[in-house]
Amino acid sequence: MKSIKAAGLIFANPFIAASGTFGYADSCLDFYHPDLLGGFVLKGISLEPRKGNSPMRIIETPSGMINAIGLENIGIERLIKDKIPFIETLHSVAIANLYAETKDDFIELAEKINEIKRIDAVEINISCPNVKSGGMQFGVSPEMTENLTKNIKKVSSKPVIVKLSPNVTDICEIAKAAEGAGADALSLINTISAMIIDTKKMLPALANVTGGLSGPAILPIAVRMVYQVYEAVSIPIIGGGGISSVNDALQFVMAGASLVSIGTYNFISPASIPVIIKQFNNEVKKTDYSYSDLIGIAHRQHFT
Amino acid sequence: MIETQGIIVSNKPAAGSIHRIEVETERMELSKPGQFAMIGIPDEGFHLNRPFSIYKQKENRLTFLIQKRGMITSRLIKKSVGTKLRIIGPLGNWFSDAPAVIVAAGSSIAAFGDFIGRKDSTIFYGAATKDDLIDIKADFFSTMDGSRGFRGNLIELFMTKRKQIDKRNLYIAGPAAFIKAFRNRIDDDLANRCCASLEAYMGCGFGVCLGCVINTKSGYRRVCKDGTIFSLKELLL
Ligand SMILES: Cc1cc2nc3c(=O)[nH]c(=O)nc-3n(C[C@H](O)[C@H](O)[C@H](O)COP(=O)(O)OP(=O)(O)OC[C@H]3O[C@@H](n4cnc5c(N)ncnc54)[C@H](O)[C@@H]3O)c2cc1C
Ligand SMILES: Cc1cc2nc3c(=O)[nH]c(=O)nc-3n(C[C@H](O)[C@H](O)[C@H](O)COP(=O)(O)O)c2cc1C
Ligand code: FES
Repeated sequence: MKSIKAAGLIFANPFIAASGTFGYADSCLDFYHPDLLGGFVLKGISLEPRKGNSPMRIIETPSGMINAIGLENIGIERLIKDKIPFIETLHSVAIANLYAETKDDFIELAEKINEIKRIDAVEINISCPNVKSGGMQFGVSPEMTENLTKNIKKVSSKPVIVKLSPNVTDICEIAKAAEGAGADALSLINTISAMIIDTKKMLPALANVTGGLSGPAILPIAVRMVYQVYEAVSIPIIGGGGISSVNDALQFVMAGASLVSIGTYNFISPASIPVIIKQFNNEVKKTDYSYSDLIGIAHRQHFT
Repeated sequence: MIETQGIIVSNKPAAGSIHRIEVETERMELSKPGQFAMIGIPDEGFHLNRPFSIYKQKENRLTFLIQKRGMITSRLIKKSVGTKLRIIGPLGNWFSDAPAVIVAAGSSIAAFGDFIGRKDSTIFYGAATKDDLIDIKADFFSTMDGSRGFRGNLIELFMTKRKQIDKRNLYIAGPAAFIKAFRNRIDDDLANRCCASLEAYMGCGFGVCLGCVINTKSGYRRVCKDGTIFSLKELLL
């Protein structure tokens, strides 16, 4: 397959490992080399280290899981000191996922990332449902999305990807606001706000009460959102939510995603992405279309 | 650590609701005492893999003791020979194989397969009733109904033998509540040289999801990767 150009970057294949499911690109080393991926998104990073939420933090649900990790992370200083040296040895596209509670902190974080040569792009997480402030609070309002994206675009020397929340009435509105503010690409979807009650304990199963649903359960919602956003904007889309097979990935591409991301499935079958990539290339070859023709093709076909 | 396919080659009741399941994997690194594997049933749709101690290993063949608890364990114990499993392992840190005193209740005995039958180690093993005890050589047994060995709680049995516990390593395994009860009952001298293998609800099993953390004196630590074995005095249970 030819490489894919999106957001000013070149991806060897369309597969991206999703933030929070791939550590700092070192968690897969026992299974495969990260250079086999088109790219990867690092665990969400903040200016200061974050402790995260108290346990229970995760629970299985029908065809999915809910997590409320609360963005536990090592903070930007340790990312630079402990993790970047390894990431510098890699060749696939490296994307940092940024999280902050205020606009000013987001800006400071983006400035710090400018200093890290090996980071190719930033993904701004305005869609985490598991933290009290920041996160989703930015991502549910078109005005705040626009304002924050503009400010980060102003200072960032890297392509800016805005990661959208599905926890909104109209995701297209937010997508347009991000595009209008200069976003280079969109990433969707983040997890869907959800909860489980433990009926034996008569309590919410997670200590944070609510968390974010991911896995196959959210796939049809995510495909629908990618389909709609593709019609609303013209910047590239990284599509994902529940992908665990070639057919899943193809759905996102046909809905309009230029790139696809795999998250939760990295926990289930951590050696799988390279296998899926190979099968995917074969499937694409079997169609009469080039990969770029397949992107959004479901919009151009007619029911017969 | 690797992800590989396993095939069930034997699945037999071991005691009560515990089955002894042997799995032939395509390849497997040699595990160390107390390590575990994540097991999934790939042909049965989405579910998180579940953690199980590697009870015994001979080259690529792993033996697990699996107790029926909820959805996946209920299915596993019914699986016939030839069923394909997903196996990720070996995972977690391990016990030193120096002589040890071991306290294990129920299926937690699976963490100590390498110690069973060793003359230099002492095993305290307990369950609700004698039918729930798997057939192994232990030094002291307890059952809640007194059907075998000491009548009552395993921790109480252990305390009656306190004077015989020398300076060997002390190992315990089980859910946090059991380990907490143990810590609250023993003296500082024992607590200072006790290592506990914890259970936690796990997402990935290899350190990446941050779902399995427990509170320790040095903050949240991942049970799957920083443990499962922690020094007892580090834990804030
Ligand atoms: C490192 C490790 C080693 C283990 N080794 C063994 C072993 O050798 N043999 C064995 O039989 N079992 C072992 N267990 C326990 C085993 O993993 C669980 O019994 C299993 O995951 C339950 O799966 P299930 O689908 O049957 O239950 P589920 O349907 O997932 O759960 C049933 C109920 O139990 C709760 N639950 C499940 N797991 C946990 C947990 N870890 N902590 C708190 N609540 C929980 C669920 O919330 C639910 O309420 C081990 C656990 C760990 C962490
Ligand atoms: C345990 C866990 C942690 C996550 N952490 C982050 C994060 O730090 N930043 C972020 O933008 N998304 C995070 N996500 C969301 C994923 O990147 C992804 O968008 C979402 O899970 C949907 O895809 P999936 O169904 O393939 O997992 C996390 C998801 C999970 C399950
Ligand atoms: S289970 Fe995922 S980090 Fe421990």
